[in-house]
Amino acid sequence: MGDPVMQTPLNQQVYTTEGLAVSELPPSAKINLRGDVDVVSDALMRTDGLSAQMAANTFTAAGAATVFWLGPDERLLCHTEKEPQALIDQLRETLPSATSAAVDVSDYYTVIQLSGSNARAVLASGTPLDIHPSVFAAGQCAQTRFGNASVLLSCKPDGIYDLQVRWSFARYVYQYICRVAGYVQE
Amino acid sequence: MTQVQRLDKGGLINRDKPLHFTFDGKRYTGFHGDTLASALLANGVRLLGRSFKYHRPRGLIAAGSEEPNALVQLEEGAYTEPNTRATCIELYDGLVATSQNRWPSLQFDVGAVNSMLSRFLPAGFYYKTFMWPASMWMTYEKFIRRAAGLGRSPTEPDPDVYHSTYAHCDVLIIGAGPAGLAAASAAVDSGARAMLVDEQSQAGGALIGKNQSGEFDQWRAEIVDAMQRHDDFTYLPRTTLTGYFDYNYLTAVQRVTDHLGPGRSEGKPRQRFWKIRARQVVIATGSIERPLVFADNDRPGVMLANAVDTYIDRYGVLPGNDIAVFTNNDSAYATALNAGNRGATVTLVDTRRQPPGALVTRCEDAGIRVFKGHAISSVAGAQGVTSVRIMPLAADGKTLRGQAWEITCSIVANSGGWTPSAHMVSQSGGKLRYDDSIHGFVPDTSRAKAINPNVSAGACNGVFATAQCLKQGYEAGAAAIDRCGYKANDRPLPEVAEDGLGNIEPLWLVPTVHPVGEGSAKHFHDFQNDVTAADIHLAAREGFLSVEHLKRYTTTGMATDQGKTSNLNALAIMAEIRGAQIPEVGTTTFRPPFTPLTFGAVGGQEAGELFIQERHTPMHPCHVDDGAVFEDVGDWKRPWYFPKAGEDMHSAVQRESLALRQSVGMLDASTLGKIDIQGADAAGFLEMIYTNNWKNLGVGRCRYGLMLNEHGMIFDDGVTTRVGENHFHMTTTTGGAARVLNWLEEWLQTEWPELQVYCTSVTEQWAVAALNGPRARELLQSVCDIDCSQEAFPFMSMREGRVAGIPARVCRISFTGELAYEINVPARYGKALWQALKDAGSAFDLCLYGTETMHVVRAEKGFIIAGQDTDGTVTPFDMDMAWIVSKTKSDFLGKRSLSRSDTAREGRPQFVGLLTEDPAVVLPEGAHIVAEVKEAPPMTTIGHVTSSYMSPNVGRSIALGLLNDGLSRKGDTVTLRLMNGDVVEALVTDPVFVDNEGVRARG
Repeated sequence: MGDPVMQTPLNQQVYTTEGLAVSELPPSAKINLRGDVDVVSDALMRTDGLSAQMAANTFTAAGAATVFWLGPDERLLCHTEKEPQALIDQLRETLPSATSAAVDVSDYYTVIQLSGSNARAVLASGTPLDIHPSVFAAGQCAQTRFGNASVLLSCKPDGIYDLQVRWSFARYVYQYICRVAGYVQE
Repeated sequence: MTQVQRLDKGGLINRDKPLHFTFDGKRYTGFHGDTLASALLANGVRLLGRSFKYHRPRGLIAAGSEEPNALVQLEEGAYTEPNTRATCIELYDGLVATSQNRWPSLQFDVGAVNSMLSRFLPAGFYYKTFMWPASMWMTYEKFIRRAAGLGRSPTEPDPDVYHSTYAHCDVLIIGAGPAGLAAASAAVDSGARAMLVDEQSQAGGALIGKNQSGEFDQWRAEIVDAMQRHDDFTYLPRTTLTGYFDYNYLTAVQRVTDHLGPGRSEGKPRQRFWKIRARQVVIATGSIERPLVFADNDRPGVMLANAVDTYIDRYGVLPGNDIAVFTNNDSAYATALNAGNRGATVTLVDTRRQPPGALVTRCEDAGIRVFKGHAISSVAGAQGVTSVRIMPLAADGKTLRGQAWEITCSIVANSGGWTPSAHMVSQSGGKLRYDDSIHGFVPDTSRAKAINPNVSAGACNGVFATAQCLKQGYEAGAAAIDRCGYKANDRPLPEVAEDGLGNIEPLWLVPTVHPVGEGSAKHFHDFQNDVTAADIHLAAREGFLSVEHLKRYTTTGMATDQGKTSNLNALAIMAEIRGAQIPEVGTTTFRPPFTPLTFGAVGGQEAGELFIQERHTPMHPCHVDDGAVFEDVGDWKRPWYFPKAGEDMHSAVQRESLALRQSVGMLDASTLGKIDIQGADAAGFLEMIYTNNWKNLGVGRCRYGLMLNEHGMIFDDGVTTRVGENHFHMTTTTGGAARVLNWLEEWLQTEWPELQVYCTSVTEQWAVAALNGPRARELLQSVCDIDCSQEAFPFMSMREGRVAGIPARVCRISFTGELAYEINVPARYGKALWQALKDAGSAFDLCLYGTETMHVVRAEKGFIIAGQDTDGTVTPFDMDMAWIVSKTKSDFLGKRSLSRSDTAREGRPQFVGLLTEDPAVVLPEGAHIVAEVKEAPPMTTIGHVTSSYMSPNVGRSIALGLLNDGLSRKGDTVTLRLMNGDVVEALVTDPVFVDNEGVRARG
């Protein structure tokens, strides 16, 4: 029996129009971490050279790993190379199961990436969050709403935005983006 | 030349771009830059509609959004829109409009008889029909609803698309008149993020089309250019601020393509709805001229003085060749001079005995006859003014006596003063104060609502001279910029000509030869709702003295125009009747929307497939290929059943139900809520959440649990698995996933923060295929590396391994009473798992089944569905589930309530099975079990059916239900009375119809 066939909710669809490019990123490992920040930070530093001591609503990257601040005691570790279970096993070497949680949410979310001159206008059509660069710049992230979907929105350099959405909402969010893409054009 | 009232030159219209349109089927021509109103006026059309209640002929009163009368039905078919103000419709080629509220025609309208019957249709008529005689309301209602309609709603789906968006800014400026533009001039280049919304197509406000200084025009052009150039300045023309809500949240509608005409938007949204959060708001909404309230002041041709100016200056239309100007203040003198200069024969009637001499002299020098201390006593011309009669006004302003004059005219331009447009301040929660110098309400800055920081500037703040409006606007803008931490741009303001309100002597109700309410003349103050001064007198006589009572009794100010032209007049007339000061009568509160808006705009893009998300499981494409019929479960699309060729729902479900118990069936169970629970106190936490014991659950074991709320009522259920010492995997009902997670978090965060427990939603991390049936083990074993033998993998346990090469958690749990496995794999492999099991299943007679079969087979086993068999009012004891309620635990959520007197009493509804006397009869769910059948309801209900199916495995219909004292009534026969009157007898039984010993699931 060969390797089982993987799917993503949008099958890596791509949509491009004037002022906007939309794509679904390939699947990656995502681990939701809860617990004492110092302990979580130690584990992250040891496994991926990342600190969990970070400002609220920001993210930092090191190599293939990125850590997002989700709450005072909650982080999301994304990794584009390691397998989720391997990540959890490594973290668990120092992260005690009695006082923390490490949960595989790799498939819970998919990432829809937006770029282009209209990306901000498209996002503003669905999210009540102020995403002007003066208040939401590269390196910032926020758990907010896009249409009816709960999303984790993060801003990367060069006006690139990542929307992490739940698997079952991906189609809806994608359709939403494609529809308003035409409405925000001059 | 058909545009008989069009001036040869002047105005902001393009005479080289003629536009053709029809009104009531007749073709007309206007010019680019016209509104429908100005184009009709240019063509000499004064009669535009019939009034709401009396069906009086009506024409234009205003030139802007305050227009109460000129409501037309715009366009036809799917594009049609009722009650649009002709003054706000930018003309486009091919426009089609029709008048409203008339039958059979505008010129001859049967409903006009209401005007003659008006003594029988007084204010409050509508409410009085509710009161007496009560039985007649049904008759009145039909008559009233048919007679009182205005336009018609479209019956077809809306062919347009709409866009809604959020916006954030430091400073939002409302209005692009002199004050708003001056505020904007402070904001541009300041570094602040600013927005300016304005309902007009071009900036300038009251000065659009006015022959102002070149300096002003150049300044205006510079500001507009700067606003458009800056990325952080959003200038939105054709945009109406519709609502002002708390914490400076404001909504606006931008008319993106309305001015192009229907079907010409080329994919662009017709309108855009803006949801704006502003740190500071500058309100520069101007003012609205109020009409004088005089006899028959609603004749087509009676207009506001500033509207006559606007039609001349902006649209190059002289509304009439003979114009009577009627005023109590200085501002209308400019209108008289303007109309006179453009060739009209003008007569000026001033209620003041001593108007400023310079103004009178200027008019007289221009050949305008001025009547001082006179008033209009009547207006002739039912379908359009033909003449007015004027008489000297007594010193007290209460009577007319002396020499009457008849003045021939087609237009009456009247001005009762100017009302600051304080709608936005009022909507923001700010209070108003009465300003005696202008005779109007202005914002009371000492009673503003602190959470909505705003400042008013210009005419909406009671300042009418352009120079002062500019100054105040700039200061307001600069102050707002400053409060946001930026430094205002110090661009100089332009010099402008002197203007303003001047002197005013209020005359709230112009007398006529009869006392108000006697004779046939009517003094209208609210044109759209047809409310007259006599109605205010009636309200006062009947004791409706306060403004809120007055408003509801007479409906004044309650039409779609929100009383823009009528509110102050109504208050003042009531104050006079009561001998009170105007502020004592009070002010009404303005409410959103400022002007009517379409539902389409509010919905924006969230229509059609974006109205509510359609959630799919990873296996969804397979279900589509297999011809599944889908059921909406929450926002999920779940396969309901899988019909084979020629099968209807019933036969498909019967086949699936049989196959599942005979061989093996497969269900997509991915939608079940899943919560990952970790931490040292997880087991103890579950002990509190569920009614049964959890500390003794071994790793790798599964257990069913019931959750109760504080009242002891069942609110969710599911199987939870111990994955590790400090690690549980909880499942919830599909619809309950979010509710349960909130419930867990609420207890953890508010009551037990000391617990080491972390809950994480993992619903969509896992795709789940459920195999059920006697051949489930054989099928699973054929594709899996886990030892599936009874010894190695007993009932209610979990094993990890690979299924079809996919890493999986397999739980041996059963919601059918059959040998069953729920195979959990990461969502990315859901489709692969489903296909692999389907492929392997053909050797084991695998049958795909949907939610309906799931419901049938679980009912055969008497398994409850929380939310179907329970309704938030039943305890575990009511459901005959005492076995799951621990007697040894010191506490769990809901425990205390189970011993409350009502929860523990005898005679509560209890869960039973029901077998109809006739096995072919399937009871309707919800059917009532009655104590005694009577001819007609009401009957005493002693229970009801919660689930009911035709069961192929039992070979007859089965039902579950709640019956008072049901547990002790097994063996009894009860009677059900159905909606259609049928009476059905049923035997009360145990709710388990199949495999009572439960050997199949354990085998």
